[in-house]
Amino acid sequence: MLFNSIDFAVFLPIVFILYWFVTQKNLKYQNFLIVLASYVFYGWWDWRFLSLIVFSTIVDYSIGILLSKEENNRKRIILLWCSIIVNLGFLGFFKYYNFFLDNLITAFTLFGQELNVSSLKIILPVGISFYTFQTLSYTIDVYKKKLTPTKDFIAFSAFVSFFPQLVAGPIERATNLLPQFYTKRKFEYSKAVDGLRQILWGLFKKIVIADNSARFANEFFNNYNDYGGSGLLLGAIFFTFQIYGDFSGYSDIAIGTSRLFGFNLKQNFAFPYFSRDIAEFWRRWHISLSTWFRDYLYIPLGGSRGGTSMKVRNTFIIFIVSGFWHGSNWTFIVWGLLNAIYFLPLLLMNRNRNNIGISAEGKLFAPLKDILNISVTFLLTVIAWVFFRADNISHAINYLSTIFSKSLFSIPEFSNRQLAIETLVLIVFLVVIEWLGRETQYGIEKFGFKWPRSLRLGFYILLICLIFLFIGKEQEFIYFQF
Amino acid sequence: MKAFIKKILVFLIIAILTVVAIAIIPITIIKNQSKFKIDENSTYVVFGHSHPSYAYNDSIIKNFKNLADAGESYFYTYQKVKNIIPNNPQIQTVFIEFTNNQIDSKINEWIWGFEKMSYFLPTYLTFINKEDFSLLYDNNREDLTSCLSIAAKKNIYRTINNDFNIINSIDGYKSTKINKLDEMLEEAKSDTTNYGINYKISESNINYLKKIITFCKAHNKDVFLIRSPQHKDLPVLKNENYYQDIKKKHFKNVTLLDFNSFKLPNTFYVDLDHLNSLGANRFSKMFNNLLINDLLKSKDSKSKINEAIATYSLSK
Repeated sequence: MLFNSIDFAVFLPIVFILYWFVTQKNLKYQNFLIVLASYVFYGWWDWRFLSLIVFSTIVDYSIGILLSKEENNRKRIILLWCSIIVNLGFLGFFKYYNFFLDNLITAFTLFGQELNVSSLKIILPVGISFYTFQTLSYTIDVYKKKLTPTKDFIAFSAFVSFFPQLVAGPIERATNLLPQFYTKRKFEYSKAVDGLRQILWGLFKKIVIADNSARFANEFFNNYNDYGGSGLLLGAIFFTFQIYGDFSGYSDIAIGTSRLFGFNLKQNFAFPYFSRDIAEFWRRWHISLSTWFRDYLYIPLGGSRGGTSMKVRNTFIIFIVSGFWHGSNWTFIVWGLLNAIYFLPLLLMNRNRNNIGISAEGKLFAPLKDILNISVTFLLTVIAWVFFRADNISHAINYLSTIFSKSLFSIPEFSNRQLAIETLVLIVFLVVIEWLGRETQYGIEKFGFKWPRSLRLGFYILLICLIFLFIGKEQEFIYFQF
Repeated sequence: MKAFIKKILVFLIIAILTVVAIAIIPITIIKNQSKFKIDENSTYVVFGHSHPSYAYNDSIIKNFKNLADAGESYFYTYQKVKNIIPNNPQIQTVFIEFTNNQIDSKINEWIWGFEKMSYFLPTYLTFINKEDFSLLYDNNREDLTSCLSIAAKKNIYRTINNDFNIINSIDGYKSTKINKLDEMLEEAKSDTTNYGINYKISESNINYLKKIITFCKAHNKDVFLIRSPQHKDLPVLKNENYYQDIKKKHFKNVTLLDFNSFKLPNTFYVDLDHLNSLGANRFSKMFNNLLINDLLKSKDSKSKINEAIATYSLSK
């Protein structure tokens, strides 16, 4: 079920009413309803793949219990590896099987050998990369004794399948989300209103910004031979806002929906395009994934401790794995690699934590230095996104070489100029609102709080009108494919 | 909790009313202000999709107005006809392009597919009736929502810009010097459509052609189906048997002016379906000549057309 669909607009109020009016007196019923609703939400797409979630839930729940009873270190490690193999095994098969096979065939061909294996027609289960990482974090935390394993199967099932963040995150840690299923949720008016506000902003980012930017990004990327450098640069910028609007919009809807049901999820995007360097960008972009890799991969590998070679190795590993997590294509690996290259100089010069706070905190305008740094970081990000969006490496290289040609200084030409200008104006609108709200959790969290109430409500109605006027063809969220 | 639901409901009602208002107010204004008036001298008009749009140069054909639009199915032509015919009593003869692709089930996408619906619905939403709207709703309700929003936005712009002359939104004659026939001939080789026993027909499009004819006849117009020249290697021509059957079965009382055998060199085409300006000029001269020589009053229009084709066709 898509958040931006009529189905979800019907589904959400029904679950909300059942949750707060029918099951509110009993925690078990509340959790059970969440599991049921989550399975309906997921099964709406393809009920067959529910079995994967159920299987993964049973495996990690059982391993958690066994880990709590087992004191023998060797056996504990075996149990941990069982969980890792099962979870990553599913992920590997569904997501990477054909990629490895195709590359193996290519490698054999290079050496003059023919490998007679044909690839499989595998459907990638929606959200597998997200819930796999979420359940893995549970087992790893239990193994490290940071978390007491749950004995409540329904609560654990609800944690694994919690519908607002099941298919595209944020990837919640068991330490944050699971305990919330142990206590009965009470309805809080301000939390629910805040949730709705965040849903509204998420829908605006997805429907107005991402889907309209997508139209032009697709036009430029799919027909890059027909355009000059300036057009392609514009196409890359459209994609930069498409992916931000799409993914951060999804996170906003997920977090807002969770708040409607009394849950608190962690912030997943903290205005990443206002970052002053790449290190800051990675602290602000897809935070739940970056911190997952930091805690479960980078730090166990040694992190930034040790010599220079160790730092370089770990940086490359984490960025390449992060790229590969996004998809089984070399373009994602190069995207990760490029980000590692951007990041490494900051790490080696010990400047990766220079920009910890918020740019121009408490002020309306940023100093010139910040503006310059934000612009450079944004441009570097745009270049990296070209690899992320391209169909293959040569597509990305050709695209970038056209951008950096003489035609960069020509006037861009494209179809539906009016809609393109409207989309650019709306992007500016988004940037302004997000800049003003950059000290909060999401763009409009406190926006207009000093205004008269009617004016603030008018602003929300304006957003709804913009959503209505700029609905394009219903688009899936990009991150569903990951 | 109750206060929350109450306040949210009030807010949603206000929001929905606002959205409905921004959608409905421009529609009402456009309905009252719209103009469908064409040139007073235009007694002949042609409707249809891109084939006639590229074929009939109305600066060559006397008293003729090309009202065709690229990508237009009969569903949208019907909406156009319903408004143009009553507003232009000078029109005596209506030509409706009837080509092989218009019976193909792929044309259904031209009715309720997102691409065409999002292009045509904004222009005709104001004038569409309940029954026609239901057809779109029943076949593609998801994309219809998006198209309604696109229509609302366009209607707002139309109202703000005081642009109520709907005729300006019609393509009409499209002149182009482009020739990409060789490329298209290559592409045609990969056509995998089944034109055999299981060939699928677009019932909806045929149904709307009937409605157009009925409407025009009810307004005392002479109606002719017309088939402008198409390249002989156009894949959809393989449905000719079905095409002729449908003509006989549904439109036996309407004369078909068939120019399909009109031969032109490859350089006179844009692609397999369309004539470029060289082809259009040649064809339009011939057509103008036929009209002057009372083609429409002739009892044997077929031989007149064949004679003209023999005179105007070019082999190389």
